[in-house]
Amino acid sequence: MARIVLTNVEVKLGAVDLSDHVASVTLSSTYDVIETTAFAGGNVPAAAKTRQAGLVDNSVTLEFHQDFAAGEVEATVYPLLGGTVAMTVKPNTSAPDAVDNPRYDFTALVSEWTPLNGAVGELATASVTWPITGAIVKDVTP
Amino acid sequence: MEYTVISNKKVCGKVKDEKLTKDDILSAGGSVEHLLAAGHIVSANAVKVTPVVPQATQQETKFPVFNSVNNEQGENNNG
Repeated sequence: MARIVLTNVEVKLGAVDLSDHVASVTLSSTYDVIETTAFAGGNVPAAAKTRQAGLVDNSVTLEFHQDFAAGEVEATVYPLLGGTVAMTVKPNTSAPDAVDNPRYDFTALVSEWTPLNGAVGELATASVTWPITGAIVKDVTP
Repeated sequence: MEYTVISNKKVCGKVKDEKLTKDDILSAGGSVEHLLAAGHIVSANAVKVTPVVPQATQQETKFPVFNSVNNEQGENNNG
């Protein structure tokens, strides 16, 4: 498999493609680690801890380029604050869904927003980490 | 119900001036209310209203016209 340089990632938020105002995206899943170590029983004592996965905690981190124009970033995100929104991210927006270009669908809880962020002379950006409610669905079907 | 994309963003894969239906929006995980409020779409059935600005003539002007000589409006302001 070829390495991939991200240049054309698709980021859709509530059916709106905001990719041209997103500089970075991180989709992550972390499972709770549940320890299950017990006395081994019999003549064999426990020698090592045992564990199993618990609930998965998914989140998405995005860095937006802020834009206050109609139909742009602020107008799209601000009304969603405190609610949930269906999202899609994909490595290459131009290519169909495939094993080497999987599409990830999920529902994010828009729990934070930074409408204005930046110093003098800098680009106005908004970095957010939104928890995902429910599972992430990976689709590789063209 | 049909809607027209008016923003510069792709909405449900449609670009500006293209039409989409409520089903298109819902199947893409979107919300009609959100897209309307955010200025991404408008109802395709909405009647375009072009504001008519009447050409006011000098005679139709409703602002008070002061007499440049004695600053009167044609009323007796002396009591």
